[in-house]
Amino acid sequence: MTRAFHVYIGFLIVFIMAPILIVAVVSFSGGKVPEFPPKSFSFQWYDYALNYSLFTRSAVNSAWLALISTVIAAPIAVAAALAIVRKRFPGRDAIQTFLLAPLIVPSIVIGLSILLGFATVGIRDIFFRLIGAHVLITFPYLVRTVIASLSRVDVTVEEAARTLGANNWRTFWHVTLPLIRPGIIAGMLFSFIVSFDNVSVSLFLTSARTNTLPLAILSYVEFNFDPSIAAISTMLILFSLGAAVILERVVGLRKVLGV
Amino acid sequence: MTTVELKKVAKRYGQTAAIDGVSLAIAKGEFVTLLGPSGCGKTTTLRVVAGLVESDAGSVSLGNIDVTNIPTHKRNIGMVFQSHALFPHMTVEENVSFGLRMRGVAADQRSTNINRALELVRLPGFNARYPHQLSGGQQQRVALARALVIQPSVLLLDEPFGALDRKLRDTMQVELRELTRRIGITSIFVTHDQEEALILSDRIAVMNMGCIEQLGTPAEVFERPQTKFVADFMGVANFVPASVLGSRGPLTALDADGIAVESTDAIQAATGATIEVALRAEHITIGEGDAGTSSNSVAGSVASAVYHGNASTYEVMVPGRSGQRRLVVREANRGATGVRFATGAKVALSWPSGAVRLLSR
Repeated sequence: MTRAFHVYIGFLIVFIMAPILIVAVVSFSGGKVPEFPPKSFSFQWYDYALNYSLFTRSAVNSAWLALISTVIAAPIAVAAALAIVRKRFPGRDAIQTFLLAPLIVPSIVIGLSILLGFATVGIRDIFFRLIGAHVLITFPYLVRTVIASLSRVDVTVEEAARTLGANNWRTFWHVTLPLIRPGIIAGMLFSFIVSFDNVSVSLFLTSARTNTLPLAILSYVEFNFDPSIAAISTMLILFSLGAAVILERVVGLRKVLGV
Repeated sequence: MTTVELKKVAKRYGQTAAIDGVSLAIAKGEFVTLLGPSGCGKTTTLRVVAGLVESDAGSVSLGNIDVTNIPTHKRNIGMVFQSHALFPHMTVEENVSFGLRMRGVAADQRSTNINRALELVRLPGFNARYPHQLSGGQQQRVALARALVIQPSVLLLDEPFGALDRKLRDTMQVELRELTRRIGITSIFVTHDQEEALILSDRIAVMNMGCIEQLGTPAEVFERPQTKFVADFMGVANFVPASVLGSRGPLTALDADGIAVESTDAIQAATGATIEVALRAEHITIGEGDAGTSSNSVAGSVASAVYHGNASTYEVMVPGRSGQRRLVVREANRGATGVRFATGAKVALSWPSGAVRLLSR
């Protein structure tokens, strides 16, 4: 590698990391307004953020929402992946593309269409609406990771189980499921993060009383401008980083992303 | 240990017939090999017996029970795959134990059976290892133990040694032969390797384009191929079209493109009919000088000479009625250094009438 290439890579890393680092540094500010570099350091904005009820309540909402949507979407995604990878039926490729559609369609459009859809059917419960929407947006990530891990399972291993006396269900339970478990766990972590981070779809479905963390942050900065936002952002970054480390440990990030 | 019977089994994939009316009856404890090139339908036939492929027509019986509509997991078969197909997340013991667990065998009974099966394949004490910690040969032995521990009524083997290197394959062949004979299990073996088929089998079914072309003992299939395809697959190098001249005492006289040929094979076609003469390269004697005027001999010139170590192969051009014809001759090396005849040398070829096979076209 040439020197110029190293410089180029270094520049790219700085370009990507700089905003994140600035946020992290600002979060430890001792002043009243976000400034870089801060004149003094303290944990006061972490203290403030963790005790501010708008943030804590919406964080709990977001966590439950992410957890429930993921737990609902995961088994559906596994079933879909099994059908797509193992079965031959007409329109298989079309269905696979269709299942990934929420990745491609602008999420604003998804949010709006879900709002209209639920209004038409007459479902008013906000949490129920949010779960429905988040199952939809997390589903493609789950399907994708499960398909990737299922494609790596040798079909003859399943056939061997059948010859040894296992019916379809026991073959799945004792052989297929243990072999794709890392993929499912990775997909669920992904799904959790996608749901937890989502703004554009939730925007259409939340109310003043039932809010998610990203939307709470958004409405907070509309009227306030202090480093508490930086503190929350830093905590979210650490949380995502932790998830990435777990993913890397469980399966390896590259495999999960299918690259 | 049971009989296996296939009756007119057929399977199509789209427009092509993978197997086209295969019938085969296998006796108790018999070792039968399905032999043929890739795409001949041998693996599909095996998978139909296993129930992994649903046939379009025909029936499969194990013992006297028609299992055509019985799913794989209720057929009580043992199967070994080329890719060994061990469960990668289970230890050797858990792998071998799987079939017993599916049958609800009690734990203490299981461990006795597992250890006996592992002894059978000469892997005692490997219980706690994982498949990736084993060599290719050991993995295949575990797969064999896993298939045998459930005491299947028939053992199915799909090119089990295809992924092993030659030396290991030779050892495994001898072991498998010895093992299946000792426990007397009915076995169906699939391979494209004729030598492997000859070593292992009680009978060989040579398959081509979804049909069994010839079924017989290894000696029958090797010595008396009935079609050009079987002869070719069994390594016969020389085929010459010939017209039948008639019987001469115990022999059949033919005109093989200008070469006078006599065969001990009984006449299968009317005088004047065109058939095919097949002659193994190693059955032709090569010598110096001119050929006589008698049958089963011809003069020619060496077009190529290749030294193989234990044998030499010559391509000899001989004059035929329709132009130059190439005959392949293989001679065992007995103390000679290198090839005995150089390219361009004039040689005489001859062969015994007993080596000439007559094949209908």
